[in-house]
Amino acid sequence: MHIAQERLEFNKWNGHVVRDAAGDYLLHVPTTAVFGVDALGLAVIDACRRPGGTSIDDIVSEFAGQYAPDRLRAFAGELGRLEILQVSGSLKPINPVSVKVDAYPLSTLVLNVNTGCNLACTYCYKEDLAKPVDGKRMNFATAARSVDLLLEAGAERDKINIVFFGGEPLTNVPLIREVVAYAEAAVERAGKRIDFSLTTNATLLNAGLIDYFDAHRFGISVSIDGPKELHDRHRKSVGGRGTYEVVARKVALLLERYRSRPVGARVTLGAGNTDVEATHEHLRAGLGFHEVGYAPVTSSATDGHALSEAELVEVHQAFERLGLQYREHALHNRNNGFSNMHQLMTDLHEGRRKSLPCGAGVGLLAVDAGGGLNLCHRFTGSELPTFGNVTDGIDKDRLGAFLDKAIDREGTHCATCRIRNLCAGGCYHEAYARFGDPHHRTYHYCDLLRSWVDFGVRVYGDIQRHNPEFFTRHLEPRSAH
Amino acid sequence: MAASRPLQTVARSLAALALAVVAPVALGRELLLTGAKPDRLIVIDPATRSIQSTFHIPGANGSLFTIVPSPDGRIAYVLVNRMESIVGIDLKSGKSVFRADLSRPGERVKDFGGFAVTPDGKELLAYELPVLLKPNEYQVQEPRFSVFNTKAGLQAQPVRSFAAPRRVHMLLMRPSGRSFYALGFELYEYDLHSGKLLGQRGIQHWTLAAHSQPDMLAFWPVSEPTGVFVTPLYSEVTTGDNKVPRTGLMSLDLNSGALDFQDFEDSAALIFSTVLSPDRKRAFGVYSTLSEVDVEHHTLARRKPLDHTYYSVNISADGRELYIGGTMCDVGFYDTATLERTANLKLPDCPDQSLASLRVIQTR
Amino acid sequence: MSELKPTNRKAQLLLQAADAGHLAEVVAMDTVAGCSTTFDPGWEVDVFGGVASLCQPMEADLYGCSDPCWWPAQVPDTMSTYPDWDAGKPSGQNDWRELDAVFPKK
Repeated sequence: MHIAQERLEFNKWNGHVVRDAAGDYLLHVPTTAVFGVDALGLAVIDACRRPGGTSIDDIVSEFAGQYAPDRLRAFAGELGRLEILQVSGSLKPINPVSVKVDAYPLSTLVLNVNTGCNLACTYCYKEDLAKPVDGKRMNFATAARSVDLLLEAGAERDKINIVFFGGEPLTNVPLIREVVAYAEAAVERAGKRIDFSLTTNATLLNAGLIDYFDAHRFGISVSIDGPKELHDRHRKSVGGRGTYEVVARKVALLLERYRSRPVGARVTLGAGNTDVEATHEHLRAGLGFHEVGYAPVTSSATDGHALSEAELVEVHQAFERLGLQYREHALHNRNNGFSNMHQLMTDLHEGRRKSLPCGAGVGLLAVDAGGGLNLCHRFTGSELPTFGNVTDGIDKDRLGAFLDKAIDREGTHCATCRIRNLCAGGCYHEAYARFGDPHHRTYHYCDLLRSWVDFGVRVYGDIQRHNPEFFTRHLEPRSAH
Repeated sequence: MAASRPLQTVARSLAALALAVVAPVALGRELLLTGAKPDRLIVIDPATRSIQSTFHIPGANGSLFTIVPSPDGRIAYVLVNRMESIVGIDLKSGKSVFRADLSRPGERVKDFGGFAVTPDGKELLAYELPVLLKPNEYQVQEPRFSVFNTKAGLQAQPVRSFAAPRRVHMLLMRPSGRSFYALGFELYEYDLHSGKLLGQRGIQHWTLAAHSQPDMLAFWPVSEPTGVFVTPLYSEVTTGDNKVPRTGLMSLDLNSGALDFQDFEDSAALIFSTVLSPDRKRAFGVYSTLSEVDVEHHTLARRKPLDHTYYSVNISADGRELYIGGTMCDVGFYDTATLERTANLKLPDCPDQSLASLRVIQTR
Repeated sequence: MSELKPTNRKAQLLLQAADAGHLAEVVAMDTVAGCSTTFDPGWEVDVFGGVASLCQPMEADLYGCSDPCWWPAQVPDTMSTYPDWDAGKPSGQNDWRELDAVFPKK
């Protein structure tokens, strides 16, 4: 351990204190381990924050009479082993590269069944969006080859996943039906299981389709932005009219009939839509969705529908208020369905340490109408080059190079950021949309995300203190295993 | 401790063993049997502390449990395949010479209580827990004892079956070959030919004054070399206002039928299985400690920590050496005089022994 | 006895590993496709890299839970539903990292 006279400094790249009235926390950044820390601990940390740091011997004499020397030494020793205290002048962030991506055990393929969509939401990020009749439709041969590729690449998996996306996937239902039949048969022969999902604007649903999806246990996500005023602001038909009336009707039908799995809502927060609480109330209590997830709109800074700086702050504050409501519910063993918070609680509970921001390229790829393999569903039809195709297979060299670059934090702000193992650089598409480069870190969200994680640590610690049973009961692992 | 001359000890053992289940010690070689995942039956030569043979049991499906040697020490019968099959392996050739797959299409049968072999080696008795697998429900059936002819080959079917009680976890053959014990919630004795219940003695319903119901976990049917099966059990004893947890030893003499319960300590360490020394004066138990119980005075004589849990314990016919195994991938050799470890044999590739029994056989 | 109070499981794991000199392993633990493994209460790495001598001996036992499944809530049911849970991983001592969580079949 450290010689008692050496000057030690608190390395905020490896340790982060989150203060809370009920009890303070220390986050060990390299592992996402969360500790409770008491007054003695804070005293040692604060002493080591001074410019140039301080030595253990000095700490002991400074606090003589207040704290027992052996406790002070023990605490300093522990922090030293965790690299939260390091020798002054030699501070280093801990960033082990333990993952080298050289295998692509696909679990999920997203099929873009039609680039066409019957809506024209203002903020849609799809570069290749078209009217349904003009859209590029995937043909069955490509879809079948995609299923074959998935089964082959996912050979080690017991369960594979197919997600139908678009455009609006319900503008090509015949293909969905063909793919489901083909995939179910193929999976049965292979002795595996399969899971289907669908994200839809809901306007084209009918009872027959709903029953069909139910029979095949589809996971369904509905894109809806809140009560009428908020939803109609951005989610318009091709003719420019708000779509809330239709969507609400279809959602009512869906939620009334759908039995096989819970249905989720996905909300995009665009300019003017920052009232997260009203939206949550409406979608959960009003319409009856099981869970709702929110994402600030992906855009360049100058898009008309982009959230302004002030609006982004409003959204973040609303997230915290909704997060406190989540906490209230959790203390009573209920989940208020605020998906973003639930995800954060899961990450903290599991102590997740991520080298990559998401499974894109590792477990998940997206297929465009031409059979090209894209990083994810957001990139189909974009200018980002593809990584192979369903006929020739995954271009492992290029994909590997892409992911290696994503893992490497050297020279970026992420190398030292205290949430680097939870954020891991942010969404590739966010970065691409904002900065033109998928490897560019999503710096525009850094401060908010760091604040969000602090908030999460406090709430997590609180629930652990008062109702730890909540975690064992309610945390459903979200990773596709 | 006075030097016990091997010949004297062996002679005493011989006398004790004359009517015992295990074949008489013919001053032949002593061998150990153990099992390890996924399909290994391992024969160990304790004299050289080395593996003599490793046999792969076909269709073991990743799991091995109870091992019962044939009385002549030539065949080892092993419960495998998620407790759904019993396979007999010839210990010279490693070939399967017997196999009973208890399940059949639509009916899943697990033998959760072990099995036993008659003293003449001709019949094998299993305890079956069947359930019918219907299209949308399971129908639990009544448990049964099933008797197989050991010469029936690799697709053995029962030659007779009869009703069995529930909650049985061990079968122990009596030396006469006419009846057997089924150990479970109570101790039952059944006629091997007719299946008639001959007697029942209380374990959960024992009548030990001031004792609560006992807690017993017994899956290691070791009765060699004495023919007495001993196992620990735990209960709470009330004296006045105090309830004290006590560990006791149950001993069942398979020959005479004598059943005895004796507490020997306030519960301090968990013991999973025990073996009685050939002089019947000591019992040794294992789990995370090695315990020596003075059986004459009903006290704990010695206890030493082990470096990991072991489930199964056995003893050499001359009582000088203890063998401990089960759980992980090593077999320990201990001197019974000093309780010091004299050797340790680590199985190659370190496969888990888990619940496989550690048996001692004598061969010519 | 640590001055740090573990709040999440990772913290607990870290403290035990730090005591045993296995810190680097825990620091290297990565989440790419889902992270944790099934825990027998107290089933973590011990000083010998094995699975015994931890917390209460009763609960430190992988075999206490697996195979015939005494406490089915702790490990997958290998007797009937997940017979291949340990397939290819016959050594608990060496292969424990690969003994993974299972997810309910729908």
